[in-house]
Amino acid sequence: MSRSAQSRLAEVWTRSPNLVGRKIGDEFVLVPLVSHGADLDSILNLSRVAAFVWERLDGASSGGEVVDAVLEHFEVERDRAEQDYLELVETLVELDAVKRAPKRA
Amino acid sequence: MSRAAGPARASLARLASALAFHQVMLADAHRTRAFARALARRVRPGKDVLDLGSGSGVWAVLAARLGARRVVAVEREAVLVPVIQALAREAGVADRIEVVRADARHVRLRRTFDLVVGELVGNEGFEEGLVPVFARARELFLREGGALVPEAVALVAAPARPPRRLGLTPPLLPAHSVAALTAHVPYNLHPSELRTLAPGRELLRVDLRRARSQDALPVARARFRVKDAKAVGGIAVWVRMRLGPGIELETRTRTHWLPTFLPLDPLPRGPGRLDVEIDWNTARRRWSVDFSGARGERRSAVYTPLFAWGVVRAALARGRRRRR
Repeated sequence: MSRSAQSRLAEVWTRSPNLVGRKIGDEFVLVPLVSHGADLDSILNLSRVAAFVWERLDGASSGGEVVDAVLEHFEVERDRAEQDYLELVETLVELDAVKRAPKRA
Repeated sequence: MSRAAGPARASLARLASALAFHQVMLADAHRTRAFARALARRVRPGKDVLDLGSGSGVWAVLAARLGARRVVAVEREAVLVPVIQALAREAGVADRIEVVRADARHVRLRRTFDLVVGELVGNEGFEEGLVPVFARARELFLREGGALVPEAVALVAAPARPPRRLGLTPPLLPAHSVAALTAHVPYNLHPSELRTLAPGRELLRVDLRRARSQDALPVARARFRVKDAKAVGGIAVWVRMRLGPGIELETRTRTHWLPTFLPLDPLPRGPGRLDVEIDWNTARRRWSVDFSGARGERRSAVYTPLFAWGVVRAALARGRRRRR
């Protein structure tokens, strides 16, 4: 793994209060709470693994710890889990759905 | 002949639907008495009255019977225009009523009025465009010192038991998939089904004498205390209208309007406090509840029809992919 990926996995993210997630049946839906008419295209559907990750973006767990939790719960290779985690966080950052948490002391 | 049959059938369907709708309203004695009292209070001989969304024309005709000099009834349904005209003739006031076929939101008129009446209040209060229609009418058509009926509309809420009819009765099929979606969608209850668990509290009030057409409804908050949160199935919301000085009409019971029920997930047994927040604007409708139990339990949840939309949209996308 590259040094850049390693440092990104050390980062801690927290969910934005401007989005709410809900599991309905097999779907996990993420909805932005907007102050004007809702943009229906900005609603996100997360896969089971992505929903699992979303719920762990709690401002306390680092990317590496979240990936460890994914490996405990799902049958997936570490490289693949790390890559998927970083891609998901990148998407969530673009959507302003997560914020970087302050560094732990 | 065959070319005319289609439009004629469509008009017949519209007429039947419109008449059925207005029959229900006209049979609502509670509503009719309240509006009639408000008009009796406001209409004076020689005054000019504008009736927006006139429907069957009952308020336009009553205003003329109360002595209004000139009444303009605005109705967008072409099939209702002759209905209003016939009612005016029957009441002997046809010479003082002008029926204008137009949408109340965009109608253009050359005159101004002393009173604007418009029963553009839906089950949910504002979904028929009451605020923008009245704001525009106030600006363009209402004379200085003129009056509005209604002059204010409020939403009232209270925690309520779940309706007994929820689900398929008798159970015919497992319906969890449907129930999971409907848990995020407001629906109407018959007033007889509504069993509230705390006194109603006013969530928000729009003063139509001041509201601007572009104003969004503010996010409303209210706090309720319940003896047993387990009994709470949702938050019931209904409408309170101020039709004139001392004349209020509430849609909680005895009217043709239906309260709206916002379902909630089950809460723990025992007493507690519910902090409710509701965004009633249609395009971003959501409600959330923070529950604090007397024994320290806490629950928080947010609900919006957008969750149901997310589930259905994903299923539609899967269906499209399979067809390719």
